[in-house]
Amino acid sequence: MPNLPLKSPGKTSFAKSALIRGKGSGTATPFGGVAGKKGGGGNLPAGGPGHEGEANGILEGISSLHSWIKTQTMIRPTPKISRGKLNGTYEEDADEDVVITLTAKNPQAPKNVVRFDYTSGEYINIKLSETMIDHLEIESTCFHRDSVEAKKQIQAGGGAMNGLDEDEHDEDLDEERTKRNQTAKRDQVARDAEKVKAVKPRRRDSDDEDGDGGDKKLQNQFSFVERATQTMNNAMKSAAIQTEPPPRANFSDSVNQWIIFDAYTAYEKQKELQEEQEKNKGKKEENVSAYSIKRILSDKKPDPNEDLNRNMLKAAKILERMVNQNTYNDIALDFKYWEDASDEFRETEGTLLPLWKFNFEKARDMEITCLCWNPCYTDLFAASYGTYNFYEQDKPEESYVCVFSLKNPSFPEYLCKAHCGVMCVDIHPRHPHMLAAGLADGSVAVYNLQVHSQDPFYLSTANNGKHQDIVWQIKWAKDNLDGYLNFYSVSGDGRVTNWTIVKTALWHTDTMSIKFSRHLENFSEELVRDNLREGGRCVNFNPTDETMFLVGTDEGVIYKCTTEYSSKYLETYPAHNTSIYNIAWNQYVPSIFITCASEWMIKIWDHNSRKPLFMFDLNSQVGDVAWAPYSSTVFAAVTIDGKVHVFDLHVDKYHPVCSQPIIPRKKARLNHVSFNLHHPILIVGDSKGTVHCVKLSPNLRRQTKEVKTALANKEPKKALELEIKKLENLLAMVREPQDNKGRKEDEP
Amino acid sequence: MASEVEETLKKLIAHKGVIGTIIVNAEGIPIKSTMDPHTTTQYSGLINQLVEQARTMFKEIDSSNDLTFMRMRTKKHELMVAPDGDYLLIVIQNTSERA
Repeated sequence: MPNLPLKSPGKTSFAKSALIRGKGSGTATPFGGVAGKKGGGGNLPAGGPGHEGEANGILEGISSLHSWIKTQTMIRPTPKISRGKLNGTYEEDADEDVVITLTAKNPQAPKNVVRFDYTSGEYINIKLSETMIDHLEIESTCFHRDSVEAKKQIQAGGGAMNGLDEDEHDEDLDEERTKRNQTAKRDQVARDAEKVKAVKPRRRDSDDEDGDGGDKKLQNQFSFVERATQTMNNAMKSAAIQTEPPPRANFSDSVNQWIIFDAYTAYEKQKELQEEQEKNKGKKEENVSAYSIKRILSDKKPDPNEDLNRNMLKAAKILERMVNQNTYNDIALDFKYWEDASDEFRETEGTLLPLWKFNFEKARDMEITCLCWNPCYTDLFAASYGTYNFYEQDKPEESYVCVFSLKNPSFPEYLCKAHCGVMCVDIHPRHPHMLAAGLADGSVAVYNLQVHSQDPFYLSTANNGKHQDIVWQIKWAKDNLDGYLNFYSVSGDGRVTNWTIVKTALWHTDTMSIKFSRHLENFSEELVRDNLREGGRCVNFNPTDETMFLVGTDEGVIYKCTTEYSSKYLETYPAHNTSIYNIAWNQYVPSIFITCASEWMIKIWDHNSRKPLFMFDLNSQVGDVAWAPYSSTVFAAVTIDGKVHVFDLHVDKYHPVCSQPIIPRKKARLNHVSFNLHHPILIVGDSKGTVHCVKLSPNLRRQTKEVKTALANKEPKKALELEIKKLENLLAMVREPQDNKGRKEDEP
Repeated sequence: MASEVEETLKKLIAHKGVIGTIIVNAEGIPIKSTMDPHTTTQYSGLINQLVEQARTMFKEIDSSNDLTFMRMRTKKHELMVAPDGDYLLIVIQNTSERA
C-alpha cells in the first residue's frame, strides 16, 4: 500500500491535463517530455529536456488535435508504400535497406505558425509545443525524491520510502497502466473533459489519507470562509383591545310543515293582492271618474280592528264560559246527574232541586214579566224585565230582555234594551234569533239577536198601530202565505193585532177588537150610558188549528176567536172572576187548555165546552201555569207565595204531586214558570228579577210503563199516542159523571 | 265591537274566583293585565311558549287544525288560555276554595 500515496500525487501534479497521469519515464520514450512540458515546473525525473514553452489555452487545444493525427501517420509507413506504388517494383524496394527511425518529432506539425502581436505590431513566430509524439506512455508511480511533491509526501508519510517495495509494485502497476494509456490516448478528448473532474479524485485520495490518520492540513486545501450575520429580531409585542359586545338576542323557533304552509299561503295571498292592485291601477287610469264615484259611494271603510276584535271576543267568550263552568261545576253536575234518591221511598210526591239562579245586575229591582225558552237551543231562554205595579209603569227609564244561557248564569248571553218596561216576550219557533217583545207603553219591538245591537230591530210607532195600553202578551205565528214573519199581540186596549215584518217595516192588522160589551154602571148617575172597555190579558193559539185562538181578558172572560174573521167570537167562556193571567193549550190533546187567574184557581177546559173539566184551588194567587212537554197530564203553576206546584193528573187528580216553596214567602213573589223542552228542568221568575232554575225529581216526570217501552223502542209516535190516550182516559172519567161535575162547576 | 270585548273582560274580572286576566300579544308581551307587573311578566312569558308548543303539536297532527282553548288545573288555580290568532287571553281562576 505504500504506492498509493505516491501514485496519486503523480497523477495530480497539476490538474490541467490528464496526460500528466502516467507520464512516467518509460524506457520506450526517450523524449517522453510531453508530460514534463505540461507539468508545472517539470518535476518529472524521466522527462528529459522538458519543454518549457508556455501552454496557451488555444494552442493546447490545437496541439492535442495534432497529436491525435500524428499517431495515425506514425502507424503507417506512408512514404514507403507510395514509393513502391509509384515505381511498381516491390522487389527492388525489398532489397533496399531501409532505415526506419522512430522519432518523437511530429513531421506534420506546422513549423511556421505565426501570430499577430498587437503590441509590437508584427507577426511573431510561434514555436509549437506539440511537435512531439507520444509513442509509448507508461504511467509512473514514482517521482524524484527531491521534488516538492515527494518532499511533501515524505513529510506527510513520516518515513523513508522503501525502494524495493516501490519497484515491485511499479511492475505490477505498469502493465495495467500501459493498457490504460492506450485506451486513454484514443479518448483524449474525453480525457480533456476529465481534467475538470480532476479535483474530485484528488479529494477522494485525501479522504483515503484520512483513513491512515494523515495530516489534517491536506484534507481541504481550499480555504472556506463562512460568514453569517444575524439581523436583530424585532421584539414581540402583543396588544389586545376589547370591543363593545354586539347586542345579542336569543331566538329560537321550530319550523314545521304547517308553519311553512301558512307562510306560503300568506305569501300567495299577498301576491294575488298585489297583482290585483296592479290591475286596478291600470283600470284606474282608464276610468278615474268611475272609480272616484265608487269610492265616494263606498266611503264606509271597514274597521281594521273589527276582525281582530271578533276573534278576541270569541276567545273572551270561551274564557267566560270556562270560568263559569269552573264556578258552577257542581251545579252543572247536579243538573246532569243528580236524581233524588228519596223519591223511591215516596209514592207519588216528588221534589224540586234548585239549580242556578239568573239575575241581571242592572234590572235587579224589576220583576220578571215573561219567560220563554228558545225552541232551538235548549240552554237558552229569554226573560223580560218590567213591573206589574201600575203606578210604576213609567218609572223604569230602561228595561231589558235578557237571553240567558244555562252555561253562563252570571251574565246574559244577549241583552235587548227597551225604553220602558217589557211585559212579554216570545221567540220565533223557526227563527230562534227573532225575538218579539211587548212593552208597557203599548209598543211592540222585534229584536234580531244576530245583529250585534241591543236596540230593537223593529219598533211600532204611534202612527203605526201602537197599542194604547200595556201589551200583555205576544205570540209568533206561522209565516204567512207571502213568507213574511208575523206575530200577534194582545193589549189592554182590547185589540188583538197581527204584525207582519215586511223588510224594514212593521205592518199591522187588527184581527180582533174586544167589544165594549160591559155596561158602565154608575151607582148614582144613570145618565152614563157608555160601555166599559174590556182589556185583553193573554192570548194563545191552538197548536193544531193555527186560526183558532183564545183571548183572556182582564174581566175573567175567555173568548175563542178565529183569524178568519174578526167580527164574532166563536165561544165565550165565563172562566174566572179576576183577570186571566195565562192560557195554555195542551200539546198532546189540542182541545184541552188550562187557565189561571189571580183568584187562586187553575181550570182545565175543553174548548167545546163552556164548563171546566178540572179546577184546582192553590190557596194563593196563581201567577202562571204551564203544561209539561214530556207528559200530557203534567203541568206546573207558580203562586205568589213563592211556591211551585206540579200536578200530574194521571197520578193524582186532586192534589199536586209537588208543592215546594222556592223562595221565602215574604221576600218575593213568583210570577212565571216555563218548562224546558228537553231537560227535566223548569224556570221560575220572581218579582225581584231573579230566575230560578229547578230540576224535577224522578217522581215528577214519571212516565207510564207503556210510554217508557215505546220510547225505549224508539217509537215516538206510539209514545205520543199513549200519552194522548192517557189524557183521553182521564178526561172520559171526568166527563161521564157530567151531573156531578156540573154541580161543582157552578160554584164559581 | 271593541267595547264588547272590554265588557266581556270586565265581566270576567267581576266573576268570583277570578284572580286576574292578561292579554298577551304574539311576541309574549303583555298588553293588558289586571295583575301586578311581575306576575304578569312571568305568566305571559311562560304561557306564550307553552301555547306555541301545544299549537305546534296539534298542527303537526293535522295541519288544518288549530288550538282554540287550553285549560290547566293546578293545586291552587286553574289557568285558562284562549289563543285567538294574534293574541292570547289568559285567565287565572282560583278553584281551590269556593268563594
